[in-house]
Amino acid sequence: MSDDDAEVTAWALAAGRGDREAAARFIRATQQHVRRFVAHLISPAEADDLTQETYLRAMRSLPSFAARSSARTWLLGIARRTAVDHVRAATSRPRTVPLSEWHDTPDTRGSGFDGEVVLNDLLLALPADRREAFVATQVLGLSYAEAAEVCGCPVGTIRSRVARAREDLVVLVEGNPRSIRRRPGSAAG
Amino acid sequence: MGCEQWREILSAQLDGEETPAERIAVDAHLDGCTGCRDWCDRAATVTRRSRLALSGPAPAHGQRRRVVPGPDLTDAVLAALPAPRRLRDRLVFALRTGLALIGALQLVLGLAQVGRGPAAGHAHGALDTLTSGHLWHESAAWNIAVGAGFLFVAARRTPTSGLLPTLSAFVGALVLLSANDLVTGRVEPARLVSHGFLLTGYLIVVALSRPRLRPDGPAGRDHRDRPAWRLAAHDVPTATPPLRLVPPHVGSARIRDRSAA
Ligand SMILES: [Zn+2]
Repeated sequence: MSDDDAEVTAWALAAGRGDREAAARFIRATQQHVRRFVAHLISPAEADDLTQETYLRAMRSLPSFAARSSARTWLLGIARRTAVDHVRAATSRPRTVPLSEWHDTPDTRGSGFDGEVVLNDLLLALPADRREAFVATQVLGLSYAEAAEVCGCPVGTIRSRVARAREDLVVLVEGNPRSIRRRPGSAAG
Repeated sequence: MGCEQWREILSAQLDGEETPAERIAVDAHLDGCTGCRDWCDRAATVTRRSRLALSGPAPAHGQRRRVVPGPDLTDAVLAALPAPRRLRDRLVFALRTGLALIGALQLVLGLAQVGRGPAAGHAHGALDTLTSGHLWHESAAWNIAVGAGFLFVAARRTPTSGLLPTLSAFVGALVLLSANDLVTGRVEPARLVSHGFLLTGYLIVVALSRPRLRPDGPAGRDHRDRPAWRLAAHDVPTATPPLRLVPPHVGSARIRDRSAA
């Protein structure tokens, strides 16, 4: 556990005892982490909602948080479960958004996000277990051991999922050699 | 060992998670396998690109990253939480401690009363000593019962309203009778001081049984009107059902984010 993690964990423990100031610090220190995690697991559009829901769940569980792992990985584990539940609820609901909306929506993003958009799309094409392993280790920079805590699986599983995710991405990028460059252009035109 | 397994090690190496033995072995394999050399280069490129595009430069403390920096949700989350627990918990703790002390004192007084017997000066006028002695014991039994009741309430974390009817009637009757006895001169004011503990303990029991101070009180119930998602014990990240694959055609969410951004 790094110094930073130890500090965050201390805030989490204090927050669990009812210290609101510590709870605020805990949220401020971790929210971008959580947001990026759920954004890449589900979608950036739903990141805010999912982040908030993650924290509401976390705040309720805080009194029983025993710091067996760092508060950061504990929180990301809750974020992951929130994402899992979200996918489950979304797939059991009938879709109401007409498909044409797909094509009519102009791309209003700044060009700085193009690479992210494409890569995010590529990530969403990965099987969910590989995606979460890849996002946890590459985007959030967690170690394999931390990612294993977040996903609730053995370290070896994370290792092979990350490798598979890389294989998939290599194939996806090679398979669409222009995909990295083409998307922004076509969206603008 | 097939190339797939070598590639898993190569992937681990990109993350600095390989063992020294694996590093040596995989280097040897790379010397003889163009396929894996090639794959390793491409995997490294994809990795670099992903890290760059998705996480951006990582400034200290991760406050404002380039990718999906959203609004500060701190206030929104805190506002959705139950009222400050700290103050309430402290108050409850203080009240319960006070009640435990009073209960213990009441118990000791009752037991001492049993041992002591009615004081000579206290004999209630015309009553013969037999009746007076038994009344003395009866009142001692009440003191013991009330003390035990206070201790019971102080020790429990659950709502305490069960004792209220009996206690209210007892305290109410005692207050009325004491006032009457005081007026008619049948009791010395000093004797009434011991009732002060009883009254304080009673008020604490009343306070503790108020819904706001109950441990499972309205804190969890304030937000009934919110969208119902529940937190069960298993929501803590121990159970791990796999994420389900979202097929590529489920794209409306992604499209919405494009227009939202
Ligand atoms: Zn090979």
